[in-house]
Amino acid sequence: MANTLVKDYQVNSRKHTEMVSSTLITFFLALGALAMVIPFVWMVSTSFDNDALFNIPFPPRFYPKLLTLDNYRLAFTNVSMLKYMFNSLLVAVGTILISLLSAIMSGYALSKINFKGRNVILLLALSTMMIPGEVTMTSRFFLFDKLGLADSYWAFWLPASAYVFGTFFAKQYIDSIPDSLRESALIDGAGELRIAFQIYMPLCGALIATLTILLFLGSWNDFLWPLIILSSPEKYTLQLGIALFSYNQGLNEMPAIRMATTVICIIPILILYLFLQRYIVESIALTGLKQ
Amino acid sequence: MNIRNASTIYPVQKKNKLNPFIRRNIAGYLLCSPMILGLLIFVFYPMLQTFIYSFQSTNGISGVLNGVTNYKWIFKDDMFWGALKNTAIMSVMAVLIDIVVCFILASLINSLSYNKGFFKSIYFLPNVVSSVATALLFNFLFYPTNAGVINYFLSFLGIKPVGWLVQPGIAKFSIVLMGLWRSVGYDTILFLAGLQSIPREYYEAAKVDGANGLQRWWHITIPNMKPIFAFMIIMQVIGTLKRFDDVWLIGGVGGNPGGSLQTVVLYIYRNAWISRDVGIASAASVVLFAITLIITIANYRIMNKER
Repeated sequence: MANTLVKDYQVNSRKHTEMVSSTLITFFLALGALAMVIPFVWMVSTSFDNDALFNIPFPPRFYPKLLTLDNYRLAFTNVSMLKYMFNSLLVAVGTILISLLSAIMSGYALSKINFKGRNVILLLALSTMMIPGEVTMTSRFFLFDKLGLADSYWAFWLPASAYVFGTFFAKQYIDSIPDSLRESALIDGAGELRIAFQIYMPLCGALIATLTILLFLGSWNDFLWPLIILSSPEKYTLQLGIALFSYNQGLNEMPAIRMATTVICIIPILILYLFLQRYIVESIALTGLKQ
Repeated sequence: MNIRNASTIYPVQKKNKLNPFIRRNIAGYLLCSPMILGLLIFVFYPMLQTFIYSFQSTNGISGVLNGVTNYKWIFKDDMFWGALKNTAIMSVMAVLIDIVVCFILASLINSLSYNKGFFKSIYFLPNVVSSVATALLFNFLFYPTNAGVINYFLSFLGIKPVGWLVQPGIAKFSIVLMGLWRSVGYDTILFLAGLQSIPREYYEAAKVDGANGLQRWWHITIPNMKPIFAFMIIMQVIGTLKRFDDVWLIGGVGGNPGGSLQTVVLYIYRNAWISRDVGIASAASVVLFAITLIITIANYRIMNKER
């Protein structure tokens, strides 16, 4: 009797400490989460704030006293936001298509076709991942300049074919699809290209989704390469457009318009995130450690 | 049934007269060709060109060989050493803070039995925001008066307004904090993936032996996470060596305030596009490449030794 009472007490106290500690942890994590979210709240609030046109309001507030849409109107009239957005989309779609095609084709070949030198190709390709793009960007600019392709979107689309991370990831993914599909298709007389696109590609849904998300995030948020390669304002991407607008006007001027442009710039990607958050988070966990 | 009928049933085999071995090779190369061509033209060739430029006095269009003059120049250039120093300081600061914060966050999230997904989503949210948007936003959050949100909150703790982005001594730290806001979710998720790969039995065995939560964390979690720590450190060191977007937006090509935000990539950019001295920019690029290579190789050596 006494023994069970002691045991009960121990179990209860253990449960109790566990509850206390998990409440504490939740509280601590919630504080951190608040720090993650506050910048967004301030940004959105300022973008609608009637008093923030010339100076940020004091004391800082997270809900405007006087709501206005004028900041957005001014943002759209001063910065060609829609044009930039369209340009960014154009760059992203082309990059995604070319990278995906190239990655799946080479991933399939490296995984399933036993051709001469495939290990050498894989090794060489992987070793290029050690070359940072920043190291080659100067020469790459002059290469495109000589080809007459500087200040054009070909400078984004053509290099997209060398998507080594995608190739590697596609190879690993296709490794897990049985060889027997290819073998029976070969007996039926299908060519490798047809096997790659008609038999294996439809089975790569998860792979395509993951790579598309990563490529879109990368392309949409890219800044340094557009800064170097694009010179005519009507070709600017969204990041470059709003960055140069702020840069040329002085960073501290007109906070409301600046925040309006920033909100517009992150909205497409936030919408994407809201719908695909589970998926994005998982694809990061999946691909991140393999890189 | 005669032979003619059979050949009409399998017409493809008749069409392909090539030896299947050669056919397989051709198919392999053909399918890999977009990637191979892309690498040759847009990675290998520019890399080679960068090496060549680095031994030339050139504006990128025409140039003359000048031996190792460019290298001599950059190693005598205070601004280059400054850039190296700034990059290294920011890199070390960013990696240390990021690894500690993200590992603790991941451990805390992992210990919860509910709300895991919620916290993952919230912490990851800033990661989808571009570096440009982050810099524009934090430029106001770090406002040097109490109108800036961060200084305003600190004022409740009795701290006087800090010139986050205008004081040379502090600007690097502010940039690192700004980067942390963006990277924290990504790295926490990677750590979480690592934490979940540690076998459950270890913890259960330790529980039976009477180890408490903190002891289990210290004696099981941390030793088992070693390879992931190594991976994260190397990825982040290499990533932070390439810092450009945020320092360019906040500090301009000069890396202001007072050149304290001048990084190596900024130095490359400035020499290539402001002073149009592509030779100098290329020499600096080669040095950056060498540093990346040394760090990567050293890391592999250490990792292999541990195994």
